[in-house]
Amino acid sequence: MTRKQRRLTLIGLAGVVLATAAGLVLYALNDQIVFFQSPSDIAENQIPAGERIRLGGLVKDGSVVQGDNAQVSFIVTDEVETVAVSYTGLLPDLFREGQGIVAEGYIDPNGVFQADQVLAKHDENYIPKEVKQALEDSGHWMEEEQGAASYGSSKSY
Amino acid sequence: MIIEIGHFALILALIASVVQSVFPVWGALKNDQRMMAVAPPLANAQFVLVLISFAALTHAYLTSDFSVLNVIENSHSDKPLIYKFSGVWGNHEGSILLWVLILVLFGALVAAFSRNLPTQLRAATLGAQGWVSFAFLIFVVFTSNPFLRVAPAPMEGRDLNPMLQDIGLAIHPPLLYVGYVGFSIVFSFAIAALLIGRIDAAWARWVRPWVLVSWIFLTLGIAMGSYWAYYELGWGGWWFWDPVENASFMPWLTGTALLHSAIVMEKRDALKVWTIFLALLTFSLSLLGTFLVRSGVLTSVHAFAVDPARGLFILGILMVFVGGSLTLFAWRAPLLKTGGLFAPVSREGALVLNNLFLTTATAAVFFGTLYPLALEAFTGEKISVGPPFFNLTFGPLMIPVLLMMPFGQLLAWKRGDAWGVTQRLTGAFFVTLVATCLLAWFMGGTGILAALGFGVSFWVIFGSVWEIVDRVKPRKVGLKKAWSRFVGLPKTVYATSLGHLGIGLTALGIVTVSAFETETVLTMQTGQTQQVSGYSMTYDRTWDQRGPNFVERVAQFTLRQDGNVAATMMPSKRVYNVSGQPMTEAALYTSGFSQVYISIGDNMDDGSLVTRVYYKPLITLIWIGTLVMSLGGFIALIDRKLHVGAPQPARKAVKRPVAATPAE
Amino acid sequence: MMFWIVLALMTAAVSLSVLVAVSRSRNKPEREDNDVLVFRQQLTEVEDDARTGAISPEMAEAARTEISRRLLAASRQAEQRAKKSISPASAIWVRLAIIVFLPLSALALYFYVGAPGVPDQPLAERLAQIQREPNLEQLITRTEEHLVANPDDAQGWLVLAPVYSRIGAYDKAQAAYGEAIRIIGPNPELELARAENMIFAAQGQISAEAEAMMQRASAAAPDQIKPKFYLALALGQRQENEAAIAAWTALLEEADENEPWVPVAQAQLNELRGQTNEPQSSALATAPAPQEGAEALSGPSAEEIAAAQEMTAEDRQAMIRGMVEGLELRLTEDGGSAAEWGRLVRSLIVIGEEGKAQEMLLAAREDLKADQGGLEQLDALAQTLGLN
Repeated sequence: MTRKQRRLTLIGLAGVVLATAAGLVLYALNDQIVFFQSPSDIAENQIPAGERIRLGGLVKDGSVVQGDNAQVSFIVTDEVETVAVSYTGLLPDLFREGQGIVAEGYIDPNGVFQADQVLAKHDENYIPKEVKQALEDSGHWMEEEQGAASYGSSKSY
Repeated sequence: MIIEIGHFALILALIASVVQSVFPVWGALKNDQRMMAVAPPLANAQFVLVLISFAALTHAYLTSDFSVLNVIENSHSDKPLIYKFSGVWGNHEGSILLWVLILVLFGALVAAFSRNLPTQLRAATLGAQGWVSFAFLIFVVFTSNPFLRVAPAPMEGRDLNPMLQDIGLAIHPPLLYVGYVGFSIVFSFAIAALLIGRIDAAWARWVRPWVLVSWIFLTLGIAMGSYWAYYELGWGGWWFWDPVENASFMPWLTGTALLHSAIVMEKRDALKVWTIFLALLTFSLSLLGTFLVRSGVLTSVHAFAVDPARGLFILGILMVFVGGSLTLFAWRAPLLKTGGLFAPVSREGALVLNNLFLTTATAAVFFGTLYPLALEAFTGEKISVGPPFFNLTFGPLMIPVLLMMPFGQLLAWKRGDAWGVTQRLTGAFFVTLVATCLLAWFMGGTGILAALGFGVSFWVIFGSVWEIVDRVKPRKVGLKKAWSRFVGLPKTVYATSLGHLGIGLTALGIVTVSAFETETVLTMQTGQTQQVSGYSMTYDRTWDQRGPNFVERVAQFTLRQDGNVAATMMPSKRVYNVSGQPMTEAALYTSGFSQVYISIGDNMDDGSLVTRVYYKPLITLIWIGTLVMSLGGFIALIDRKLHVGAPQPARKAVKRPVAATPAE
Repeated sequence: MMFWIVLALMTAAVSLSVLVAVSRSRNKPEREDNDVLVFRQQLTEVEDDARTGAISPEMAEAARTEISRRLLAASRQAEQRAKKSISPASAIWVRLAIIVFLPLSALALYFYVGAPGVPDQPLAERLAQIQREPNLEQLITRTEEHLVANPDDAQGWLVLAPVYSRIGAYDKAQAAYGEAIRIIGPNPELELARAENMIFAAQGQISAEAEAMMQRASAAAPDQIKPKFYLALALGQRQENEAAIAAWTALLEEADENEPWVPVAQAQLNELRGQTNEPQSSALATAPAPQEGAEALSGPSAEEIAAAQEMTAEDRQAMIRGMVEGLELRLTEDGGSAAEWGRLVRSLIVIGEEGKAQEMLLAAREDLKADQGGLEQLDALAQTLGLN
């Protein structure tokens, strides 16, 4: 095989592999991407029942109800609209009323969001008062400090 | 005083890196010995200085010196000693300092081990290394300085994020960083080759060990991180296709490709330009990973825009290094002499195919990781590209790689005999078939996909050891002779076999867990017993106890198999004193390669306990596989031979001993 | 100092290591046999492999051919490169960078971002330090040292003055207030504090200077009782009884009966009236002799008023104790009037030190054995208090 033929074979092969990959990516993008929606988005957009979405918002105070067999229902709000959520399983460590969460699942025909995964955002910006005071006094305190700067923080939310 | 000495040492290292960035490369281009001579002592000095500064920071952590802002933000006097220690790099500033420490350690290692290298190559390499360390030292000193002081000092710190208070943190980042940063050496070597305008045999010989070292550590680091996430996050996942994970996985993929193309280059003097390109690409992806993790861009694009100093700085470093190196590549690579020729069906051909698939897979991961960020940045639309996307794109691209693996291993250099290799692999094929059927039967029937997964995994496992079997031929020559042959095999054969065997084991673990794991959520009363995946699990009691910096509620479960007690498991839920942050600690029971995993939730109103129980069949194989892979890499590393790929002579070798004409 | 020595040593070590390497380097021609070396080693290894049977003889032969070919190419290239001219050393730039640029820019940058000379503050040491901290003397000494070095630090003087006052070093306290006034300028509040301490230091005698300051303070804040109180005392001391009576009466008219200084003022008033009319049995058993009485009573009472406003119960207790001890010391060493001794004994009973009171009663009898009237007063007191 000549050098030219060899090169062509290689390029052809690479082309095939890349095309396959691109096809896969496009297909997956169409099918496997989950959109992130706030309760207002859901109210506005009339998302069809059964479509997978990610719902983000705050857990409404006083809305968490423990059912049987580790079933939990609660309400997610963005201070404008609300969505009722039902979930079965262990809630994440940081799940609390008033805390921001992201739930993945679908809206059932009754308009209840059936979550199969609930993630609570880590709030790493906790800080004892006196330390905060000390930092403020010394001018090192930034209100907008990035919690995510800590190592590995986004590993699980 | 110690802290300030550490701070000064850091700054002195920065200035040393400035000098190192200028003279060695200048000298290499002008062939000036004096200028080139500054490189090794400066590389050593930087290492010692950054070591001093790292030790000073560690000292501040160990003594809870709350006059240091970084210690306030990430430590607490009640924290156990080990976490005071690992807390040094459990935060942005400290981890970047560790990054730099490993970077300059590699610089010093190159200086120490490179006496035999051509002086120009050595100086240019160390000079390029100087650029990298300059960029990151500037970053540390001006945007991420861990030595900033606070006056008056508070009496207590904010404590380390409880999730990071784990032995995993002590091990995982250093391993990962050695991997990431090790590729900077390879990058510097590539830059040096481009600057000088030639790649000689010494270059090829030199690059491979550094690739191997980096690859081994990156492999271990990723595996460690995966295991850490698995037991620490409390929900039994071992890989999330999370951007942070992808950030380390992408350099691993191209690093693996680089490892293979470096073999071709070393043994066959071919694929030089491609290897250079992969070297640049791999380190660029390491930088990209650093950018993703360290800039805060992942938490939210918004947060990044609010405090952009750090993010923009790393983005700047990223663009300068990626853009600069690719420009240099485009400009200088055509000058490089290309090397040996090979037929498409040959060991080289197989390795090219491996490279092709690995880089394509990297591109898919790259796309999936960055697309949501780009979309949010440009349109504000938030999407989540989760495991389904990656499983669907990355998975299919890996299947051909796995299928071809045993073939590539057996193909001869230069021109191979595909049919011959297929014949040699017939045995492995049948063993695979039998093993797949056995495992499927043992698991009590399986779906078609899982069966195919088992098949592919076993194919890799048996195919990779088949080379050894085939070369030793125990059935023909008898055990004693076989043993002496086995011992006499070149180390590279073991290395390859182990590396591929590891992949097979990991694949087997992944397939089995994905297809057969069970998850049960139970609400249990004290004394209640439940059946879970062939075990009976009794919830004995709960009690509260106090740890050094947390209080925890511990639940005790007794796991019985066929009436015998298999294990007593004590998962717990902790609340850390300073942060008030709760943390679930799972309990694991390992039996064979499988694990039972229990994590607990809150007590319900009626006193029952929400319990999540997983049965994870063969899950430990995932990590055992990575250990085997690393062992293969280690054996390749200690093989001191120079590696010539002896080509299969052409059929009419006697008449035409040299089939291919010399390159160019 | 040690710190700067360490910094200098570090910098010097870096510079020296580079300089040594630079001067050792010769502009020797490049050693170009690396490739050749590699290929030779490769050849040997092929031989080894062929011998052990790791590769077939044909493969070994093919490998040998290839390596030899590369070997040839490499040596040709090496020759070409060797012909290149070698540029002269520009060691001066290197040396400049190492000797001048490196130390200077490192130092400059360190001064810019670092905190030179800030000590380490390990928690354990700081905790130990805090346990030592309540030691007032050390604090005072440290502040004094600070003020010797920075005599114009008004804040320092203002911190120190009340502390002096608290430990009974009234003279130092008034001097400290004086320093503060010197730096800040005349200030009624500070003058009031200074005057008060002068009065305490003079054991109740109000000097003209103190009185002038009191007057200024009173003018600045007419509502304040304290300056008026002292001014009234001053009138009494100067025997301007009419004016003094008028002043006390005016004060008492506005006063709430619960205020701590009221009994004192009442006593003063009674006394003055007694002097003008006939002796009256005082509400205080310590009805004093004309001149000494004011002195013995005024100091402590006034101090009590000044301090009581801000003090906690414990502080007050401690202050009283301190005052009693001061009085005790003075009386046992220098002796005093029957009124003074009586006051001491009474105070000791109040703070619960009966044993001590008994002891002091004996000391008083000893001190006053020449004074028959005084002894009678003591006996009467002892009887009321149940002592013998």
